[in-house]
Formats: sequence, structure tokens, C-alpha cells
Amino acid sequence: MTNANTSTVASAAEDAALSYPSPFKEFWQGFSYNKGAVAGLIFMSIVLLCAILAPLVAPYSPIEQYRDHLLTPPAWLDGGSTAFLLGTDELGRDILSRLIYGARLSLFIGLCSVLLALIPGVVLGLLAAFFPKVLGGVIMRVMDIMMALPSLLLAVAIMAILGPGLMNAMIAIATVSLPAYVRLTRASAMTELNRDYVTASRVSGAGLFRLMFNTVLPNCMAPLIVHATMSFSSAILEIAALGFLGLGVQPPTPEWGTMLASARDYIERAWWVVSLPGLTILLSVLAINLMGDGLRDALDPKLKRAA
Amino acid sequence: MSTVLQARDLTRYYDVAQGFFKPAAQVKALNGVSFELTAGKTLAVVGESGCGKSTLARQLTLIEPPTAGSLLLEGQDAATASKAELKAMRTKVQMVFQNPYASLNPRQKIGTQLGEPLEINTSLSASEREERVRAMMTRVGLRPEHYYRYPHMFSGGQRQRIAIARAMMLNPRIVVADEPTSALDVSIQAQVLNLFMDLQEEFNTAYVFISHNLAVVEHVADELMVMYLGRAVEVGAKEKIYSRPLHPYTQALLSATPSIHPEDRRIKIKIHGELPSPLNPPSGCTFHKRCPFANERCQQEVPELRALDERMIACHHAENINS
Amino acid sequence: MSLLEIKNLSVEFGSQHNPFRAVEGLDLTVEQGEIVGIVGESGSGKSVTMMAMMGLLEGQGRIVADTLQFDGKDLLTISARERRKIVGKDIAMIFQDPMTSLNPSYTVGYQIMEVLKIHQGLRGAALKQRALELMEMVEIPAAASRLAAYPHQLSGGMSQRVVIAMAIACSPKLLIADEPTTALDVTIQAQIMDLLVNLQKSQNMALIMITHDLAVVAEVAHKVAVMYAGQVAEMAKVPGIFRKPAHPYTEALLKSIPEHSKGAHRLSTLAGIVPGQYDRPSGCLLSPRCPYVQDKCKAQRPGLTAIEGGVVRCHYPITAKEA
Repeated sequence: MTNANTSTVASAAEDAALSYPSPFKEFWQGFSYNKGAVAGLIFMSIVLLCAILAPLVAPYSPIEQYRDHLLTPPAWLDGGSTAFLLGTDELGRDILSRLIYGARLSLFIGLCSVLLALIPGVVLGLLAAFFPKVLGGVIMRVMDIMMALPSLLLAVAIMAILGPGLMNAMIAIATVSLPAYVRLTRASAMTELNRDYVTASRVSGAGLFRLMFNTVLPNCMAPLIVHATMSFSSAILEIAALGFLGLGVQPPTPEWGTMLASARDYIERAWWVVSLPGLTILLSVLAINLMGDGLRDALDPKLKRAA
Repeated sequence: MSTVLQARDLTRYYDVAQGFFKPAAQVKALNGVSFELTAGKTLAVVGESGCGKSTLARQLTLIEPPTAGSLLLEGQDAATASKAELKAMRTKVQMVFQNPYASLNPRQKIGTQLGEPLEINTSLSASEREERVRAMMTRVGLRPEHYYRYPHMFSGGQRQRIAIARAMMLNPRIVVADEPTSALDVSIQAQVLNLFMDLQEEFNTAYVFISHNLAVVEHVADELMVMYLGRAVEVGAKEKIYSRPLHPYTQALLSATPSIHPEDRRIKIKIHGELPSPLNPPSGCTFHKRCPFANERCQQEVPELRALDERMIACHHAENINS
Repeated sequence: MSLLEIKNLSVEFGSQHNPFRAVEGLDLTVEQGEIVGIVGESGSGKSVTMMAMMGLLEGQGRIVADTLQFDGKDLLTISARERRKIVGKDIAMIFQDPMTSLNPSYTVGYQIMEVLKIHQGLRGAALKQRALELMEMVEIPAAASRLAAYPHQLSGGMSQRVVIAMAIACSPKLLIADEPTTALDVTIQAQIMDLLVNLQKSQNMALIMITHDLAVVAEVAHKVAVMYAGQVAEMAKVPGIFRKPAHPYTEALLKSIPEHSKGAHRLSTLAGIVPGQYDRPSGCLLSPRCPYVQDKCKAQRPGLTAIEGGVVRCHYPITAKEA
């Protein structure tokens, strides 16, 4: 079959084969097909830009207190002033500035707690898949116990041991979301392990480390990435919940959850102090979840539409 | 003619959990199989599902130790080899799989996948590896630009060429091919079989060719081993067995294979019933429940492989039914 | 009048301005009690043709035909409701993988009885009686107890028998079998083929066998249509088509079967691959691969020409001299 005849025919077929999209282009096609996901991506990009450029974008310092303007309503309400577009809180701080600076911390917390859960989760999950008998059993039973506890309760318990603080809050949230990553990694690694290409790699002499991270892991990434986006938003919610309980970020540092918590006494008198941070959290979480949907469409081959 | 592989009484049992209170059952996936493999020759292993073909492949590629029996690779015993020796032995046996869509890593470029065996087992530099990979790609009929492609851009036949190239990268002494063409179309199958034959001639590789397609086996094999439920029932030179099969199971297999030419059609020996479960194999000769010639002796006594008419056969009645 | 008459059937997928023709200008007639084999490689359009005929492509493909008649009824114009009455009752189909064509959540008895309830309105004892009868017709041992079995408790061969029982439940006039034995072991394959042919005779059904295995149709079919890239390349009577293939593609397919080149070291192959969606040649679809290609073949698509015992789509059909 390697005669001259084949090569001419093959080259004719080649041109068609060349038009295959690159993996990234293929991903973007799948992602952009989902309108909501693109909207989410745009919203999150704006939030991210604001967070990065906070000192330039924000009109005031987030911790400066304007004692003459306590609880000023937003600009479009009676008594509002264009000086404070979204109004001020009980200590006279500009809410818009606090939201913009708060995005920095909230997004940072989300990212860190996802990474803190993702990395050990993937390693534990792979170990559980590669050594299913003893080590896998032990890991999975521990994860089962963690999953049996209500997540917020577990997080509060961890905070009680570690003490309040930003770093500890992230560790607590990461620990709570760890079992999901372990289960997810283990499940998809187990299916991949039965594939011939893993055996082929074994036959050509690949060691354990190479098999785990080079051969199997890249093929398990799609569901993990999707889950990571989803838990990014739940991390923001949980840190807000911890902040609300006074266990998260300590005032006066601006953070969406803490803002929500410290303003709860003014719900009846000044709704904007509570609602605006709440709305910001809602919109961000919604945007991230929409992005997650798009990611799933683009990465999960089972949902891929037939070409 | 040098022997590259000797298997003696190769046996592999698996434990299967049967429930919380019951003891684990044993599946005798491979039950005492012996054979020898000569350099540059092809041994075809034929049988239906559950006969132990795939278990045999796992033993031969040394990714799983046998429960009993020994495996000698170029005279060296796998059971007594040290870890380093075992690693060196593994490079001598490579494998080609049935499903070309599952046997390539979907997230690695072809060049990377083909280079992996070299990266693990040799100390060649990256550029030397690429050179070797490109040479092998040309050899199996792939084009240079395929180096940077991902597996999903290839057709089944091309993927099987890639899989063959990967198996040949380390210039192994033995290639175990597990149904390498059964997922391919007829005309592509012919191309891939030709590639196998050409490579064998060029590199003097010994093949263990596992298949259920007797027409394909007849084309590629030198020696033939027919297996049923973990045992070899008839072993011998291909010409001998094809021209005059002696074991009733071999006869049934050959007559069940459809043929293009009516004049080639053998008298149909029909065997009834299903393949028995390997979890609960019949007593005595495992074939007795489906065998038209079975009697009481077959139910009780396991037939041993014995020499008859220039081959080995495991049947109590081989002489009677073939006279 | 023929039982099934298809004239100039085309099936298109994809968008209006960039359509992909999966089937192009297909003619096929099936008489009552006839066994017709449709042979082709993957992607040649053999399954799509049958799906289109049964109206299973609704909303996916655009179907155009001059005639699409079954048993005197025009399948193109009847309502979906009327078609549902025909499909499943007068036309039945069995698929390649028996494991996926049975619903794993219900017992096989329930599934057979469901078919009988819907199409024949049977109830109570008569229903059970008929289900049992069907199970016995497809030679399932211990039929009564097997009615209560779930699909996963049956072997592949048994499941395929159940699928066949469901297909013949309403005594169809036409049974379409899409690769019915590909997923089965050789000895089981022979059993299922025997069963299908026996049922075809006893029920006087027409049987369309879709397969890529030429040998299977060579053994049972009366007439064979060879498909290539969505077109019928050749349609002729058995065994003539296998003795004296008129189309170069039929010839090449036959030659690439190992059985054909006994004793030869290499198999004869057809270079290249089946053209895909974007690289269909403007002339004869086989022209880039055809060993006998002429200038006319590259410029002009051939139509169907009558030959002895059938039709062929080739400007220069191979004449009898090669036989």
C-alpha cells in the first residue's frame, strides 16, 4: 500500500484533513454556540477588569468614611447625590468603591479555594483510581464521611479549630468541596484506566507517575474544569455565608459577604446597603454558572452535537 | 530458527466477588497453556469470547503476572527477573489493540505518542527521537504532517497504522496483536494485514495474532492455537489444521465461518447451545455440553493435550470421530 | 408488483447550501420472500437508506425519491400516523448490537408483550401464549422461565434471539437486519444466520441483510447490492456477482478478502479511502481509486447500465473474460 498510487490518492484526501480545526478553535465553536455562556463571560471579564484596575476605577477609597453622608441613598433616589452613585453605608463609605474593591477579594478567594480543593482533590482521586483496593478504599471512605456532614457546619467547625481569618476561611471552603473533586477524578480516571491506550502506555514501559499525570489526567480534565467553574461560584457564596456569620474576612476590609453581613441591621431603613452587595453576588454567581454550562457544552464529548 | 518465547503451563485465575457473605469465586481465565514462538513467525490464537485470548495477551505483555506457570522470553524467566530486567524484557513485547478508537490517547499528538516509548526506554535526545518517529511514520504509510495531529483527525485504518507504528518503535521481538483488524472495513483490513506482513519480513518480528476471524487467521498464521474456555484444544501448523481439523470445536469453528465460494463450503457441523460461563465451567472436557460426540467419559475426565497426526489435540475421541 | 420499490432515492444531511448527500440516486426492489444483501463499507449509506425508507430520519435528513412504495402504499405521502402502523408491524428491523436494542429496565417478556399489545391488541392469556410461542420460534431454550429474565441476564446470542422474536411478533412482510451478527461470536453467528433464514422461509418474509461481510451474504442472499459512497455500484444475482463481478469496486472488495488470496503473501488492496463529505470527485466516485480508470471516468458520472443478472454503475464494466 505504499506504492506511488497511494500517495497521490492520500494527498488528495490530505487537503480535506488539513481543514480540521485546532482543539482551541473547536472549543471556542462549542462555547460560543451557547449565548448565555458568552454573556456570562463578558460580565465576568468586566468584573475582573474592575477588580484589577480598582484604584483607577473606584471613585473613593473603600475604607474612607464620609461622616457627613451616612446612609446616602443611590443617585437615582430622592436625597441621593451623584457624588455617591450607589449611595453610602452606615459609616459613610462609598458602596460602589467597596463593591469594586470587594471584587478583588471575592474573586481571589474563589480562585484560591478552587485551587486549594482542585489540586489535592485530583491527586487523591488519581491515587484512589490507581490503587482501588486498599488506598482507594481508605480515601473514598474518608470522603464519604466528609460528604455526610452538612457543608456549612463542617466549614464552621474547621473555622472554629483554625480561628477566623481569610486564609483559614479559604482552607475551610476548600476542604468542604474536596470530596466532590476526589469522586469526580476517581470516576473518570477509572473509566480511562480501562482504555487500551493506557495499557499501550504501560506496555511501552510508562511508570506510575507518567501514567497518572501524563496519560490519564489530561483525559479527565473536561468534567473537572466544569466542576471547578461551578464551585468557584459556590465558594463565593460560602465565603459570603462565613462572612455573614462573622467568621470570614474581618472588617473594614471590603468583601461582598462581609458587606452583606455588616449591613443587616439597616435592611428596613436603607435597603441599598444590603441589596447591592447581594445583587452583585447574585449576578456574578449567575454569570459563572452560565459560563460553566458553556464549558460543559464545549468540553463534554457526550453532549457534542454530531457534526 | 530461534525460539523467542516459551510459555509453559501458563495459568491465570481471577477472583470475582460474589456477594458479602459468599466466598469469592475463581474464574480460570487461562488454564495451563503452553506454546513456543519462533522469530519471524506468527502464532494465531483463535477462540470465541471468554476463551482466555485477552488474558493470554496480558500475560505475554508482562503487565500482569501469571498465577502459575512460566514465561521465558529469549531464555529469560519473567518470574525470576529483577525489576530492571523486567523493564528491559517489557520493551521486547509490544501490543496492537482491537479498537483503534480507544488505543490512542486523544489528548496527545501523534508524534508525542510515538516518541513516548523511546523517551521512557532509551536515552536518545529529542531530535534523535523525532527522527526515529518520522522514519517509522513513513514506514507504515503515514505522512510527515501527521506528526502534529491529534488522533481524532484520523480514520480507523490510519489509527491502526499509528498503533502499529507505536508498537514497532522499540523494534520488539514479539508483537501481540489482539483482533487488530476486526473493527476495520474489508478493504482497509487488507491494507493493514499487508502492513503487518511487510513489517514482519523486514524486522523478523514474531507475532501472536489473536483473532476470531478464521479467514484472516488462515492468511497470516504459521502456527495455530485453538482455545476454548481457557485451554488450548488444538495446536499445530496452520496447513495441517485447516486441511484436516481434528477437534470437534475446531471443526465447528471452521464450518461456522461463512465463505464466498460455495465450492469451498465444508459440511456444516452445527453445534448447539451457548458458550458456558467461565465462572461455572462444565466438568470434564469443557466442550462436552455442546459437542455432538460427547459421552460419559467427557463429562468426567479432562482431556490432556496429546500428539496426534502432527499436532497437539485435547479430545478423548479424536481418533474415533475422524477415522 | 414488488413488495418494496425504491426509485431514485436521495438523502441529504446538513444545511441547504452545503448539503452532504449520504445516499444518491438509489434504486432497489425487493420481492416477497426474497433475501437481498446490501454490502458496503462504513459510511457507504447502507443503513441510512433503510432509516430513510422507514421514516426514522425525520427532522435530520431531507429525503427525495421518485418512488418509495411498500406493499402498494406510497411511503412518501402517507401521514406519520399511518407510517407508524406499517413500521414495526409490516416492516421490522433488527440492529447490530442486541445489548443496546433491548431496554435494560424491563424483562424480555414485558418487552415482547408490549409489541403484541400495541400492534395486535392481544390481552391476558392469549398475550402470554403468543409471547411464549415467539420465544420458542426463535429457539430459546426454557422459554417460559426466560420471559422473566432481564436483558443483562442473557448472553449476546440469546438477546439477539429475543430481538428477532420482537421483530417477527407481528409477522412482518419485510425484515431488515442491520449487521445482525457482527457483534456475536462465530459459532453463535452461524446459529443466528440459520435462524433468520429459517424464519424467512417459514414466514415467507422478505429479508434485507445489511452487512459489510461479503461472505455472509454470499451464503444466504438471492440478490446483492454493493454500495459505495452513497451509490449502488452494482446490483446482481448471487452467485453471479461473486463469480463475475462487473464493477471494479466489487472486484476489489472480493479480492481484498483473505479467503480470495489463499497462499499469497500479500492481499490485493484498493488504494486510498472512501471519499468523505468534501472530497467527492466530480466524475465516477471510484475514479481516484479505480485500477482501470479512463479519462471519461474522471469527467462524467456513470449511470446504471443493465448487465446479465443485474445493473452496474460503471462506464467500462468488467466483462466475463476474467472469470
